[in-house]
Amino acid sequence: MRRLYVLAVKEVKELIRDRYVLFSVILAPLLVLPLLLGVSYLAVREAGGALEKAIRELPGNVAVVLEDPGDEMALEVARRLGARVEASVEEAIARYPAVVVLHSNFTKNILEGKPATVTITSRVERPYSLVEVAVVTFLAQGLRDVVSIVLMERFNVDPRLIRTPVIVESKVLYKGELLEGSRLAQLYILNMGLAFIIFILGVIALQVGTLSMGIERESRTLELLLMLPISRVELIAGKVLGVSTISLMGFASFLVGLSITILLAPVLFAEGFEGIQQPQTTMQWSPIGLIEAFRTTSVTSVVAVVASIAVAMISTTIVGILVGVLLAGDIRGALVSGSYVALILAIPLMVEMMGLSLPTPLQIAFITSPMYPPFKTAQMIVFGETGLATAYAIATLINVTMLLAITVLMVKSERLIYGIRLRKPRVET
Amino acid sequence: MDPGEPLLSVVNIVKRFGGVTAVNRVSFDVRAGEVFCLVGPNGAGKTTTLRIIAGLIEPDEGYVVFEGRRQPWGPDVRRLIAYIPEDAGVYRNLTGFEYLEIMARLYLGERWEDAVRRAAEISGLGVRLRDKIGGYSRGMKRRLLLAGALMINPRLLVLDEPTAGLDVTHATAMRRMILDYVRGSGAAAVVSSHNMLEVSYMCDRVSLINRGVIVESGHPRELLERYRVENLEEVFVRVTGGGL
Repeated sequence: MRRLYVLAVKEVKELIRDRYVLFSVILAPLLVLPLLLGVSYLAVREAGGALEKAIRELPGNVAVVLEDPGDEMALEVARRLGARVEASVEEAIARYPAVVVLHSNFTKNILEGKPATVTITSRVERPYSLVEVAVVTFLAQGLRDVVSIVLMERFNVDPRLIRTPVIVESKVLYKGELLEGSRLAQLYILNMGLAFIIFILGVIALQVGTLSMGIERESRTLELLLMLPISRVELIAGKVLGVSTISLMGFASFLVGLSITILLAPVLFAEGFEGIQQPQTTMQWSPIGLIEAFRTTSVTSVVAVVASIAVAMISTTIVGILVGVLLAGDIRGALVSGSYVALILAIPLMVEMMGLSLPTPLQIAFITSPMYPPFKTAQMIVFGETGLATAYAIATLINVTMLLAITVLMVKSERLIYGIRLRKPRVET
Repeated sequence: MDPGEPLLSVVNIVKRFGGVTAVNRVSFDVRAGEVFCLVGPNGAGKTTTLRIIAGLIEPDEGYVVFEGRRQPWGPDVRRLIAYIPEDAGVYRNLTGFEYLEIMARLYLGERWEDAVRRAAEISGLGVRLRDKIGGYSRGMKRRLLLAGALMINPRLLVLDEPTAGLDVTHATAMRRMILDYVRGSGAAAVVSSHNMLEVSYMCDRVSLINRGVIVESGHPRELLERYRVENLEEVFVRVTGGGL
């Protein structure tokens, strides 16, 4: 029993004093989930509040245009919506965030079993925001519900007997241009895709960067590398270039895997999960949809997206190398610590992928994440918010410069050879 | 540089780690065509001294001059120095040829092909150079590293325990490679060792180092005569009083 105790004490002492164990077994698991939960909670709370407010204010903020001003059911729908009746869409959309056009023969079509048609034109400022997209979707659904209620109460018709009482066509007024509703979904997906690409590529780049340092340490090749007749900047640049190549290969491999999954999933689950049909949504996305969304954006946006992906990958690689210098004594340490740091730094991207935004204090806190400011810069350029795009571009520039400066300072022979120690340095003579 | 001047001068270097002084006022000169050996037990300060000479770490006090230029050196001077640490590793997934080619390209640029051919010959590894280095024995790895270091025609070789852990065949081959190069090129070598036989065999001059301090210096034969003993181990014991 005594020997068992001594063995256990040896094990605990040896493990707990290891920097890698301290970070990856104790500190990181303690941080990752609460941090993800905390950030998501704050983002969802903010979005929830905004959505609730928008929906609450919706009745007074909707105008209705009646193609047939005498149509009885259309008038009733307008009344129930709490909307003001206006003469034309062009005039109304300047004053209201949404205008509902109830087309002619509204009552006649429904009562004859043919669907009545409605066009909702919504003014959208930020198509990447879940709140705005949700309001558009909510309005369409709300309108269908109102029609059903009117059918039941005023005409004594069970709406379930009519297959499609109303066809709702959504249009979006975005930056003075009238777009089809599907374009809104496409823009939303574009944002999600951009966040997703930077998230995946960032996680891969950070891990490969950390791993490359872990391999150098474990193989004991650092001194050979440091003796090369090249400057420290060249050394880092060479490493970043090599690591980025591997990261891009990793990302391409991930994309191929994802595409196979997306192509195969509908075939394998053609009949749904055990016969349960999945609901159809307009927000489903695919690589082809994403390419299509990118294709339809401006050249500036495409350049911004490509540049932001490149900057995010390079900065994340540099962070990976730094994490490697700090935490990776060997390959296993590099892999685990790299994964945890990548997860922590990618939290804002996970939030953005859901169409949510970080509250301002958190945006400032995560400005040091190598993935977040490049993403925000591209996002703001794609969605035409020039002022914010400039601010995020400056933040990205400061970030990259700081990172490079820190790395050049950290990649000093002495630190690399002896490591950065939490305790008193070990004497190695 | 004056022909009479030493190629390398180490002047009063001090290096501390926390409260421990690993190297304490160490000074010596090394001339062209000379093999200079630092001899001492484990933890005497040999590796730290060599790392300072190689420019990998900075001394807290003192300085190092090579070819009339004081540290810190830029890439143009570092190109003339080859350093092989005692525990130097290798890129396991590269082949011997790939490793030599990368090193030659980095050091010599366009003139890399001849250097690789020369290194392949010096290493004596033959067709095994086509295999991944991960599969090499310790002796083969050391020979590859030394061949890679010699092919760049360094003016100064800094070798930390070059034959530690090698069998007689590999150790002899390594010593011959070092001596042939120094004698043939007029370069200099600073070698650390705790193997007194090796020191007698290849060193022109030797400094005994203990607890970071140089305690005795001279030609190996001169030291034996001065202390009237049979081998350098006895000299070391006499100088240090037997204690470490």
